[in-house]
Amino acid sequence: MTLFSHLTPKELNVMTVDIKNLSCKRGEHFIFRKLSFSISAGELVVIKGQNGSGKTSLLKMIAGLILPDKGTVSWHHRNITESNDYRANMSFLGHKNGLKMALNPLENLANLLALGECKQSLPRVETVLRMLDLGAHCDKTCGQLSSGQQRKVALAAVILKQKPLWILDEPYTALDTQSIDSLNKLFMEHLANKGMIVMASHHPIKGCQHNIVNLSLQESL
Amino acid sequence: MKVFYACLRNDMRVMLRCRSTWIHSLIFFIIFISLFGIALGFDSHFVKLSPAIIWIAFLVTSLFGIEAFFATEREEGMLEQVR
Repeated sequence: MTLFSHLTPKELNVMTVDIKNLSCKRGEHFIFRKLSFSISAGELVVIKGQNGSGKTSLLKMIAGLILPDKGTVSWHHRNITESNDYRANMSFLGHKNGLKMALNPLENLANLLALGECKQSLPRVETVLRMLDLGAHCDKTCGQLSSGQQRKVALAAVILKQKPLWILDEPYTALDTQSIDSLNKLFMEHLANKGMIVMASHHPIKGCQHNIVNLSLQESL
Repeated sequence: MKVFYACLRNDMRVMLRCRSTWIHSLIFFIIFISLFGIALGFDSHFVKLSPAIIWIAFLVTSLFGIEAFFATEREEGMLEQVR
């Protein structure tokens, strides 16, 4: 049984994100250019590079939050600017968590799921929160939580939205070793369900039996 | 519409918990109207002008909030999460 109930098995098998000749300019200089790669179902793409090499810009371009200076990002062989269903199949988490500090984790999750036009059953929410060791902190506001716990709430929202494509910018920031292991298990679960992940991370991914593509932005210059 | 109601519900919840974000504006609104009353006198003339005074007070008070329009959401990263 697939987690992505709105997609047919055929759609799941042909699900790809194609990045073609993507270039990003900052001022007069290219920070990367003519970058091409694809992300297929069950694949994890890890983008690596020095600070300022354009990892965040690349992820935002893939998410459709900024327009590329050159090149295209396609979903199901259609440019994402023309695709109506791309945003419905994608979940993005940037450097900022998108949480309201005055609300507790459950209220924030309800808000983020509503913004992503998703529904989730309470047992599944509780399971994910327990896996991320947040179960005992649901009565506190997010402002009372540590940076790592806030990051885990934001990651829980990405997981609970159950979109096939996850775009994550430094997801392991502020997380402890145990949380990183739990998160990796959830990533593997997602990949086993034919999900796709593209993330920028400096952290090595251990215990992964799935397709990992390491992409270095330095090489694209 | 579901997204709209979800945003509205959350904003109301946040406003109830962080009263300092709107209580200053409310106090300013009341003082603004009261000053008109003190200057013009609380008589029939003031009553006649009161709709205009209320709208002017509303406009001036809303200027405080315009600066922060979407700024909090941008800062929190909430705008990136809108589908």
